[in-house]
Amino acid sequence: MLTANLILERLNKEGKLLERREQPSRSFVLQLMDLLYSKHAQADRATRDIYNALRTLDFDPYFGQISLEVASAPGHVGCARVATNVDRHLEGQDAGIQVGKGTSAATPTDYRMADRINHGRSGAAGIPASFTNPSFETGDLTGWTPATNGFMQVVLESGAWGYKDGTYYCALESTPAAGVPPYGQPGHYAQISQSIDLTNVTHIRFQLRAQGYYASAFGFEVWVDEHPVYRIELANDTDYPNQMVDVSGFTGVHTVTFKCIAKSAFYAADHGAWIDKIETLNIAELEYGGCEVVNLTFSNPNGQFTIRRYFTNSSSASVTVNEVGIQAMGQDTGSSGRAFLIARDIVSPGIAVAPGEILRVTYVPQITV
Amino acid sequence: MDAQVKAKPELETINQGQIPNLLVHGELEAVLELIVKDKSSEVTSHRTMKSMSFVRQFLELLFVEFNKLPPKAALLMKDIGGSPRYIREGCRNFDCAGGVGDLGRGVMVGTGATAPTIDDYRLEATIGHGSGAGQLQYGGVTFGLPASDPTTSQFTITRDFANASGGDITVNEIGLYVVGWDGGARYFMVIRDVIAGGIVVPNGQTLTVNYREQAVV
Repeated sequence: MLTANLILERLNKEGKLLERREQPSRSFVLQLMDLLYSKHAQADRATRDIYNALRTLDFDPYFGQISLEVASAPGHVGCARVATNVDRHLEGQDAGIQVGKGTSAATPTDYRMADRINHGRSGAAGIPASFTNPSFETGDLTGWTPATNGFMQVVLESGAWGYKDGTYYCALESTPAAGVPPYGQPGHYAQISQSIDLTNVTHIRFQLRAQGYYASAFGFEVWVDEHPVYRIELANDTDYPNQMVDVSGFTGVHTVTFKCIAKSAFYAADHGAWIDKIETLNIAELEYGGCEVVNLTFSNPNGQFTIRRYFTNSSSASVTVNEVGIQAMGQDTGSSGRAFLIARDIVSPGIAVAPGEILRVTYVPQITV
Repeated sequence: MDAQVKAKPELETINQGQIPNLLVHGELEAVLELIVKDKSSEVTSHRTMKSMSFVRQFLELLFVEFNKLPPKAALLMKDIGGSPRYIREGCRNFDCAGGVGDLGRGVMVGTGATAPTIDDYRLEATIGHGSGAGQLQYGGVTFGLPASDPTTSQFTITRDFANASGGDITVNEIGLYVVGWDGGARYFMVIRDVIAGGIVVPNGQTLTVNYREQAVV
């Protein structure tokens, strides 16, 4: 049989062991069966990646030989041994051991961590301040300071769209004057601003829609004081749900501005960006080290090897890990690398990793004859 | 005239809710199902048991794949001929899709009865392919697609062995042979099970072996 032991060790920054847990891993999931099947049968196999997209595993890829890779580079580093001409779309953090905050029981059909902790350094100790009137439900711009130039305006509207929250949303859009000469011009803008204490805010999340045929004439930007922190080119009549802005580098009170600005000429009213539900979040992250697969040993009747990864808490917040898993890289028939969850385990009670501490997670797959 | 037995591989997919589960939580293992049928497809013997024995080559191949070992870091493994081979990452690793009569890939049967050890690299006494004395006709390997129920995910590897030898044959050991890649296909045993008391395949009958690789949450 093959089983795996799961070992979690909490270390201080000097590497001194503070806490150790060891438990049987319970949870190899369906994607591992799919990956093994594809290799055993030498057949393509459709299976779910970590984004719930059905991907067809390529058992015999023309480029590369990626099929069950767990060893990986740290954090955002691209996978080290990139196969020829393969756009793998993966970072080191996407493969190997994963950690999360989710507490739901593991099932064979889990395809992702329930609430994965991302790689990074953000995470604040306190409760994040909120924007005043974040969903414009006062029916006016209470708390917000509007500003415009050219043929643009800031108005509250109440029409229906996919990601609207409550009754009202804020439209940063063209005025009727844009429809007549000299028309709307590049640089015309509409914006709303508000001062807020970002000390305990790591991310700002908002719902956005590019409204109208001329929406592609515009860009949408978020600024913290004079620092641009988010910028996209809008497409015609397109929803942009759950847009995230990383503001973890800011502390103290700052002015946050949401701005719709024309990049080219526009020729009618009611075109631009709609924004709603502007939230502040405190998302704690851990820095993912590289994931190593080492120490293959045998002593009849047993054999084992070690899968190990270090997670460093470089944030200002304690991070509690409630779930641990393993993701493997595979290659689909489009020659892209994909990440697949192959194991997921619940850690109960969770293990709290304080700022500056390190969590060492070790899986030891073992066979016994 | 020799008896002619035609092995007819049947692809079998287990319905959800009907997955036989002999494992405990957290195990990844194979369940071994042995079915003997006569010429009219009547089942004359049926046994289901937990496969006990992934051997070292299984863990070694998993290690190679998890690490995507390049040629310069290839892992030394012993093939079914006892020869050392430097095995590296490759899409053929774990290939067990053997065709009719293929004695390098897929489910294999033998007459050896010695208890497995982790260092076993081949069956103790492989039964040859054919219709001569002491031989079985190896069918092609077929696969059941992966499926899951609320606790178990699995897929099935199946092979038929038809006895046209003219006499009864007792199968005492069963194994799974797969490919390991060193720039060419080499063959390795990853599972070996010994069947307590053996299973008799009478002349004219067919043994179907199902290895169900399972993981239980």
